[in-house]
Amino acid sequence: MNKNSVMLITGTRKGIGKSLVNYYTQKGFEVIGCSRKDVNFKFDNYTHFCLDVCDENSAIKLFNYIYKYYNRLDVLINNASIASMNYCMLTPLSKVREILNTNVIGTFLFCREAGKLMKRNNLGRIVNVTSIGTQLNLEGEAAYTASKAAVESFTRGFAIEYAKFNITVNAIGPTPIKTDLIKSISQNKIDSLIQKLPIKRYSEFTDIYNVIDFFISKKSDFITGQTIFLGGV
Amino acid sequence: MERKKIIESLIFDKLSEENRHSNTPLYPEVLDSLGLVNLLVDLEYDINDKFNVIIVIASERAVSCTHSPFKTVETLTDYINILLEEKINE
Repeated sequence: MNKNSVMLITGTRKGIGKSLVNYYTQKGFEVIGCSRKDVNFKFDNYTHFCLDVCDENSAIKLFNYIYKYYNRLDVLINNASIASMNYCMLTPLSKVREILNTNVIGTFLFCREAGKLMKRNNLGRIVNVTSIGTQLNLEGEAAYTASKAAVESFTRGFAIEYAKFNITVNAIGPTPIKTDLIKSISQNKIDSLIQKLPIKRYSEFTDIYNVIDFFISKKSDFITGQTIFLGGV
Repeated sequence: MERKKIIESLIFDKLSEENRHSNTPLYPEVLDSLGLVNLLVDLEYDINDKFNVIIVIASERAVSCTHSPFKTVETLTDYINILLEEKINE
């Protein structure tokens, strides 16, 4: 993608999303972001929307803004995600629904609307964020990893349908990264998870930039439906 | 121009000349599934450009209709007109 490409990132209030805003605005992208709550930062070339990614009307209005203002969308990064580490027998159904709404419905909705807009220019890159949890089957993460398994399945499904429009759809699965998403997990548990990895360390933001840069590169037009897990998983 | 005529002309713009009639069957006779996707997605933007109103044509309502609104140019025109009417009156 070129400088001044238009990129939409979901879940930009903190963590990976916020770091992606910082990175891609510095690279010259026009970045639009969203989260349920407002952000406490400002970047040049950044516009923020407060919305819930599983709310269809709000999402459609956001895409309409992008269409009217930029007349195109080059990159979508579906980063918005929630987790709840808890044993299945102690997990309220409302929490499972919340996880599925944000991680699965939100990803589907944004992939669907992005595809409609990207199709107009016959070009686009979509990157979904999954987790190494889908590969490691960790206890206490069943609902979260099931939602991420759905994201990986959507990635392959959308990739097939969108290939006709030169839109690629791929996913990245980071290892634990020091963000709020893992702050509720005990250090012992994180340490034990990292010990299961071929490369035994946390993901860094730069590891994530590297894979996303690869997926959204102009040269990656033959790469679609793939999930890259970090750390050798 | 009457609203329905405008909608119909937007649909005609997406069809080959020999299919520009109100009784032209759309899906599955003239358009395959990908052709229908292209038509509906393009029309959503064309309607937005023309009327400044956002509609989602492939909604739950469209799928649950007893008679598919995607059957002919006329049924699609009528269906879009209803969606527009509702949006304008919101």
